[in-house]
Amino acid sequence: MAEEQTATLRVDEAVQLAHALLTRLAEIEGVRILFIKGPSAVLMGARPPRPSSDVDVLCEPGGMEKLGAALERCGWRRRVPESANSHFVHAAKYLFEHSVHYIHDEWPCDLDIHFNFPGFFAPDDVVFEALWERRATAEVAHWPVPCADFPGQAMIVALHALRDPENSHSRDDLARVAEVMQSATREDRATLSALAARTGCSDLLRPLLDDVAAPFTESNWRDPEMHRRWLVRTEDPRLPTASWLIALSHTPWRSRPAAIREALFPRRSLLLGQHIGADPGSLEMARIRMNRWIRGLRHLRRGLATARRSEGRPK
Amino acid sequence: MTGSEDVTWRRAPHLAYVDDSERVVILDLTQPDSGIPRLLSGSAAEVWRLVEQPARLEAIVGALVRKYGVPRSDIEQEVRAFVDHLADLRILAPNEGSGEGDGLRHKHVV
Repeated sequence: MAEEQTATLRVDEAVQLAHALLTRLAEIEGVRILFIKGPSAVLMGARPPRPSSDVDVLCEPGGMEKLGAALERCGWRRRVPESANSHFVHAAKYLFEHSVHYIHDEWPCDLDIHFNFPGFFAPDDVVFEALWERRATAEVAHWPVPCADFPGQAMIVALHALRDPENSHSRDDLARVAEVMQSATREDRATLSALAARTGCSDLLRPLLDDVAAPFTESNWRDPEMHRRWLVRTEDPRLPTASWLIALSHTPWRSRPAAIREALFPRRSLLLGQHIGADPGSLEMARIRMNRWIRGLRHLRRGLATARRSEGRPK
Repeated sequence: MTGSEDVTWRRAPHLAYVDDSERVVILDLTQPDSGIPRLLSGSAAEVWRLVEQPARLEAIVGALVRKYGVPRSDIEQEVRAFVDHLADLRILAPNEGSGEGDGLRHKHVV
């Protein structure tokens, strides 16, 4: 008889079981979470089925610390983002970074713990409560998990797709949301509009709302400056270099030399934060650094132009 | 715990699992800090599937005999030992009505 053994997880298994694991950890810690995108969006009908390689969850304000600590007790560790350059300040807002990423040597998937989601201009607590009030339950890995309902998932899927409109998945996802909304009742379309207004993404989703003949409701959380930055950023998929330049532009002059030095010669932990698996040797580390310089130089000119447009400066 | 013929076995309620028909991967969520995903494949996975509804050892063995076309005497002892092993791992449990584990699955659902 074939035996029971410790599993080497496949990606699809890891993604599904991670939903259950996060649900259980959040319950133990008394933290509210909502799964978004991925399997839960598929189950809510807001996205076409396709394999997922990571898990996205929206965490209630103030809950990240406890949930993160619980994950670390289970062997997960934070994946360090590029904007973790210690000399950057206030980078997250301008880089539309709204999540903390976790990785595990034995789980072939990332966990993205969001405290907000790019495109929602309302405060974190307003967004979370608006989605929490209408939460649904999906079964993933035969475990009930809390998730955003269809309108919530539809907004998030659409915002994600609009960030990278040239991506083939983005086009399919927007088409799916539009298709469902076009056959929805007038009341359901009004619900989507109201939710978009409440969470501060009405302006960004206006093209979709118009396309499905949903009424446009102006949001109290409009942010023309962030909207402009969003539009510029979505024009250019070469995000990392532009992101770094934007973060640098918001760094005090006296800190910029150190920031540049750190970018050219980043800490080992920053480089390894982007990689999964066993720590590389010195030769592999050299290769990682060289590839990073090559990517940065390749995208420098275009990244400069994008960064200048994002900051509202002439070319 | 012994695989007594009088025991009806069921899946423990505190388990999340993925079954792609080739293999089953199970995660125990009672103590997530120490939870290790466990893999069942081949006939071990079949045992798991046979207790989707509570079942006695006799029924489990009988189903395996029919599926694999082997004499009962060839597998009965092995299946009993394996069921005991899964019980020790808290993957299977005696079906004694709703137990403490049932609350884990439904607690947060509102």
